[in-house]
Amino acid sequence: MANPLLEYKCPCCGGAIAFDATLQKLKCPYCDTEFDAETLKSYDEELKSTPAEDEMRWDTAAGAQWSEGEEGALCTYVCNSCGGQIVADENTAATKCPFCDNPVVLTGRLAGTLKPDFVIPFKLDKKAAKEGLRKHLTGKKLLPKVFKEENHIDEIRGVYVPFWLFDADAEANVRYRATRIRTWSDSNYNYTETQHYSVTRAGTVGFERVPVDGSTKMADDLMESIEPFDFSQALDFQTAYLAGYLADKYDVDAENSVDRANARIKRSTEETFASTVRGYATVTPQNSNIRLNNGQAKYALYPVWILNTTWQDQKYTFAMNGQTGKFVGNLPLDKGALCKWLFGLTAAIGTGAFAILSLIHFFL
Amino acid sequence: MKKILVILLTLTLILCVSLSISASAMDAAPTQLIDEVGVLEPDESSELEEALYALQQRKNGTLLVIAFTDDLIQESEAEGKAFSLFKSHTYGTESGVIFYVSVNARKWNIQGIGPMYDLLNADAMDLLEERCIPCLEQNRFADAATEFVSTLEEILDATADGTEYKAPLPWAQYLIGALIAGLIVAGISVFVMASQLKSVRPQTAARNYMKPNSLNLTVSRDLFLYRTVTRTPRPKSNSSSGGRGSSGGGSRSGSF
Repeated sequence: MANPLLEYKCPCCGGAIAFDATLQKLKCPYCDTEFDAETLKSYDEELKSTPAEDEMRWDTAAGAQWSEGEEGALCTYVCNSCGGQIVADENTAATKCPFCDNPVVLTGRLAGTLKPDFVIPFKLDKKAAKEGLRKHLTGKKLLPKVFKEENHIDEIRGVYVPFWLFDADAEANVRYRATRIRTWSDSNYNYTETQHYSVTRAGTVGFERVPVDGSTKMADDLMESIEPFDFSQALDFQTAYLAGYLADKYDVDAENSVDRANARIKRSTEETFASTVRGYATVTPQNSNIRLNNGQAKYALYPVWILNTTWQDQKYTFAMNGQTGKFVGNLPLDKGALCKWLFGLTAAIGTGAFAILSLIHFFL
Repeated sequence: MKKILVILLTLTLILCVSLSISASAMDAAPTQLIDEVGVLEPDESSELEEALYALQQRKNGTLLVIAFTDDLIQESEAEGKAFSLFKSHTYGTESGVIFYVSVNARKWNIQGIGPMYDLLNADAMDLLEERCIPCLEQNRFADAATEFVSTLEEILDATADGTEYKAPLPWAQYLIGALIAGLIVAGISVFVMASQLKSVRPQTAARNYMKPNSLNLTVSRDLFLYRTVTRTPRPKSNSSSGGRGSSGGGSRSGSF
């Protein structure tokens, strides 16, 4: 249970500092001093070497509060700034103190084999996430009008979501049945000639950094909906980027994530090879054999804004790509508006069509 | 004197006889209902003759002829047969309409003669065919003839002011068709609107993560296996489908 707790203290005023997505630097909210991530890296190391006296107290407190089953899932820490207790689950890697709101990083969750290889820092801030939600709700004719008025944002969280990135070379051998059709006529008959072919395509195609969500807390389809991330902006992992945001370590390992990557790679490989079969009227896959070579998995943290809203006692979760701003989230359907639009459009289009038919009837 | 009187009486007699013959020739009414096969009952025949005559009177002498014959003819011969039948039974009348039915060959022709050829345009022919031919198909010859008379009267009424006959607007069909079209378009539009509310969709492929220019085809083989040829008869453009007639105006023939 001895997880080191990391807070980035401002070397100037001692206040807790956080990563600023706009500046792409760490910034002290108290004295506005800005720091490079590299500069803070050495500061981070100093903090790590500081003896953590609090560890003894954590064990005592936890044993008294939680049952045996819960003890493994929940951990308590003491905030270095205010001394308040921080309760987090076993996967939390970065959070905020509920008392003083200071950002803290639980470095033990990101150490050793758990250390991410890459991180894409947040490019968009909380304001952009709110604006993203506003735009997301605009122009939806079947969205209940009161949804925009009555719903309120319960919370906005900037979360570094753990992703497994899979690299692989796909070696494929695919066989298709294809046909070419020629038609002609004489005075009595129409003729159709069908030429049948066996088409074989084999070769390789490479994939890099196919992402698979490594956190069970995040819905897979929600995370896949905000793809793609621009990996060219990824950096070697530093805990400094996590300051001010929430972060989870993975709880689905690479071995258990690989099936999802395989399915996506297989599909794209088949589509790519099928696109090379041209000049036929029909192309039907008969047999495909796909092998993956040089498979590698990397661990990365990707920036995601999560917004939760409540409307009519129902929770709606939205996600925004913290790098590109792509915003997704399912919205409720106004059945009354649906009926109005359906019948209104039917009447309007029907009337127009009737008028056109009548004009054609009378003038042609 | 007596000789002169005999000559005068003879001339008077000759004059009376010739006038009588001329008058009887002038009064010879054209035959408007011809039933060589006997498909009409006597009372049906008399009713039809009355109706034909009454219509002729009302429509300034427009002559209508209905003929049920036992001619064994082809469909292409129906028009010529009908025309010659009209001429032979109407003593050269220049204007009229004939509804010719060959009961044995099951062929029919409706034809306008003279000015009536232009009056019976495609719309008018469509209406006549739509009302009369179904009766023929069910061997209800008297009903077919009655429908012919009433429909033709309707057409003549509609064209009394010299305008071209225009089929009445099929309100119900157009309205139902327009509403169905509207419902389909509206359904597609509403589906698109509803789909805007759903933006969470799993990714099924990894195309975004394919290495640029990494596709390397080592085998690209297209092997011809065999060929098949199927042939289907070409539809004959001059044959009427389902016994219906051609679509033009003036004259129309068909089978039933």
